[in-house]
Amino acid sequence: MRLDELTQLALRGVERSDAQTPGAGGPPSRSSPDNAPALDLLLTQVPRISPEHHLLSQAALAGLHEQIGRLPARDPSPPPAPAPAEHLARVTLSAHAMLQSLLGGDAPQLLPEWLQLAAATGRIVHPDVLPALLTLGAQKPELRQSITPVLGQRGVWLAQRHPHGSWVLGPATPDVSNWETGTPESRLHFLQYTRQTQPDRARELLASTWNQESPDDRARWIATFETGLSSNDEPFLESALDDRRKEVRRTAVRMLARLPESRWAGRMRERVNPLLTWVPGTPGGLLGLRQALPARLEVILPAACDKPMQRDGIEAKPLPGFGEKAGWLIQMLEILPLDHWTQRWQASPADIVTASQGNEWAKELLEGWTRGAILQGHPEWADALFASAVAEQRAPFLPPLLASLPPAQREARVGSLLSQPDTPFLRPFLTPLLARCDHAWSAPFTRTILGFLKLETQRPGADWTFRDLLPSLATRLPESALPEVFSGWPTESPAWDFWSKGVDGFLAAVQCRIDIHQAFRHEPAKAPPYP
Amino acid sequence: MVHPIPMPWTADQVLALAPDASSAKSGRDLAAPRHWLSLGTDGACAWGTLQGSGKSPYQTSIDLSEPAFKCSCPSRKFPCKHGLGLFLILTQQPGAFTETTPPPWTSEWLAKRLAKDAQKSSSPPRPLSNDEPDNVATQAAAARRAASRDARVSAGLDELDLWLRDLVRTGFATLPGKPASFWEQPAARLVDAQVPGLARRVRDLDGITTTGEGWPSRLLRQISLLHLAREGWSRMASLPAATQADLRATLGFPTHQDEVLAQPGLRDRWLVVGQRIETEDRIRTQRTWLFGRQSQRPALCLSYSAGPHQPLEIRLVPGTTLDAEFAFYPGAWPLRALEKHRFGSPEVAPLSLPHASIADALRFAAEAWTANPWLDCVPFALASVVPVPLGDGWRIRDASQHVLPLDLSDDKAWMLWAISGGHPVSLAGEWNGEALTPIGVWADERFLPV
Repeated sequence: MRLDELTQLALRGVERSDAQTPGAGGPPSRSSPDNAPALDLLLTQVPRISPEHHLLSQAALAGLHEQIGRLPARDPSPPPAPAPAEHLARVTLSAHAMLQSLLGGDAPQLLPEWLQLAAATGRIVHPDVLPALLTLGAQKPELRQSITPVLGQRGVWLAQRHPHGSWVLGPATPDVSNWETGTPESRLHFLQYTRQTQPDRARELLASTWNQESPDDRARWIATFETGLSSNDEPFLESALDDRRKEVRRTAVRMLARLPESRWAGRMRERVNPLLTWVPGTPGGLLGLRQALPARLEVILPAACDKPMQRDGIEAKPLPGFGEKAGWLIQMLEILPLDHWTQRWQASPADIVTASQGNEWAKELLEGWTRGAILQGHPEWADALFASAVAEQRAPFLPPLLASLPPAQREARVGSLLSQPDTPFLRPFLTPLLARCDHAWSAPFTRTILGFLKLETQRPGADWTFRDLLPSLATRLPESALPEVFSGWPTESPAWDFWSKGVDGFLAAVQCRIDIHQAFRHEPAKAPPYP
Repeated sequence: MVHPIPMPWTADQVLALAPDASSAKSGRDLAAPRHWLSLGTDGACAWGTLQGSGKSPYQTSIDLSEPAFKCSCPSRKFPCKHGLGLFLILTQQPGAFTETTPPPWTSEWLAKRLAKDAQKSSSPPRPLSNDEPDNVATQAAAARRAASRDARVSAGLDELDLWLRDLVRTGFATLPGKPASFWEQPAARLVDAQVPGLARRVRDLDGITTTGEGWPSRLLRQISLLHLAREGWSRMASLPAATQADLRATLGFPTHQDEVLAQPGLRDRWLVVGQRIETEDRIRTQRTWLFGRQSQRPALCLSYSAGPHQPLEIRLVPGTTLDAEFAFYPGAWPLRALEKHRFGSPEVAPLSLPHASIADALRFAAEAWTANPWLDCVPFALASVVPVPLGDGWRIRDASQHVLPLDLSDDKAWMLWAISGGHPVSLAGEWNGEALTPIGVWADERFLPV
């Protein structure tokens, strides 16, 4: 190769080499390809004006010779297997264009809907978005179920090769070697997997190495008891109450609280039962000589927070805003399963909440029960407490309680709240309240909310978080309600300058949803009309 | 009523016309009929009105034959979001276009465009040699200017020669780590000497020592081409006319578009195989590559933009075929071209690419570089290749097991591989002698820019 030799010379510098440059005479130093003699001949004809000039001229010849004479390299190895043929049709090009813009970051909250519509119409995506979808699925596990059906054969083929594709192929069934020698992730995966089918085996394996695990790992491992929790786990969890790591102890308490037969639950009941006494109401007499008395609660605060109580998860230090002893009671009410009280007193959550209200410790009781309903996700208690919080205008508890309500109750509660003429105490909590309404809205609820929003956006506004929430609400509307959304906004109001940004984003997202549905409704076989 | 529209446009193609990402997004937001007060088309053009932030509604028109846009909004972007939105509705929901008679503001604009076209084609090209008396003086002045420029060029190239000799005398070993000024100074001298083409080549040498294994060889290749230009200049008069033209273009002498357009053009059905935009010093250069269906000849159309508000040419839409006449800049292997006349609207025609195999394409490149050693790259349009991963990189492979390395980002490579699925695709790209940079791919009869 002439150019290589000339390069060596140029790298050294002609001043550091002897006067001879290659090709200026003498045989070429290496065996030449077929047509190299012609090049050698040409190279010998280059006039020697100076060593530098000579080198540059020869390099021009040799370089072009190499570039022009380049033959294609050959690779005889078998090419990778091609993707199998598709069974399903691809989405239309307009649906495809929409997916591209969603993947590009426009209204990403609408991606799940697009994917579900594509799957529902039995369509798969065009291959150019497959790498982006594989990466998306790797980053957002919650979208995987929607992505898988639209990948098609090509998507699975690519997933076998793409660095972010392994989730499509499903996790390999873990075996015990993952637990014994794997990375923390694969050990966690093994535990979670084994808890689903053989929770006892998972616990026994964990117990065998428990004392060697790091505190961080212990906290991660014990959280897997959530799956397949049973009374068999009780001894292990009970012993975890003595763990040095607070997080481990807290998780153990949370699990034990879900096991009514646990020793922990027994101890906790013993502690708290004497503190609360249910005094049933009495009906009134016919002549009114005997007055009707409502049911009430008598409360004694705990005297101390001893070591066993602390071991069971009650913190001795006071809760902000409450007395020391009241704080202990609140913690116990929060953690003990709420069903205990309804069973013990044979009263409904609403009755108990009402009975609490007349008490001198009403604030503490409601605090404890509200925290319990939120922590335990108890729908009946949450509903009763929501009603009382509205009546007493205790707004901060409303959004978290809402999360424990099933959609129908959620809509009933929020709907009646927002159709009241004016609720200033609510205003600071509008954003979290509506944010928690993250289910698919019914048509009547949608009308209520839209009506509320159209009134609210007439007020002089400064609630940025509420304005910024508006675009995300677009995903919750039922498809049938979408076309009606556009009219009736107070565009002439002086406050519109402030609100229009959020409402425009909301309407743009609604429009985008309409377009997505449109794109899947009109399904001509092939979109581009090629002439 | 639904108007039948001969329309090859897809949303992809329309969005590719957007001057930037935010225009594309705004265009998409406006691509819903509810935003528009009126929508109409007669097949050759489309128009619409919508209420903007101004007092009277904006009036937007599109000439579909090109496409060309006109809008009464104050946006300095081109095409503006209204034009894009209108075009997108036309591709996605043509049924929404209910008017069929162009309003005056559309027909007047079209008439003006037609008149301008007619003027362009009927006015005789500016005569290149003219012996009218009042031109004698101008010609003499031009000759004097040319002579003084030639002297300056010669001096600049002599200085370049000294610098090149220094490089090979002291050797390349000392070059890694040289400051940017080491390369910038000779480049600036070349600009002063009115040879900007070589100045660019010298500037491009900066950083070549960091391009990995083989950089000394790449550097030697590049400076030997500078040497070749300098040698050629010293015997300019004895060179064939076409080579003289190539050398002048390499040096960076301007060629007037009028001169090019005055030449007879080549009419063919030209397939736009792809586009690349590169930005250097805020100047965007757009290279649009075409191949003639009958002639199998390549054409390169360049468009420059000096800032975000200066639009690049959008009349050549990748993936479309247009019946047009192109005039080529002179040269031994004519490549750069200007559109001289267009017959009818662009269309999406069945695909036919000139290079059946990698060997074919390399022969094509050999021809090109034999004729013009200074060509930076040669366009390939391969009818059937399979992209395959190779170690850290990517390559294409044809039916006879020949392979070529690809130069493209991982993201794009994965997209290319997904598109092909291991099956053959048609692929166009720029070949620089070492690697192919894909610019367009066809799979399932669909064109995708890379």
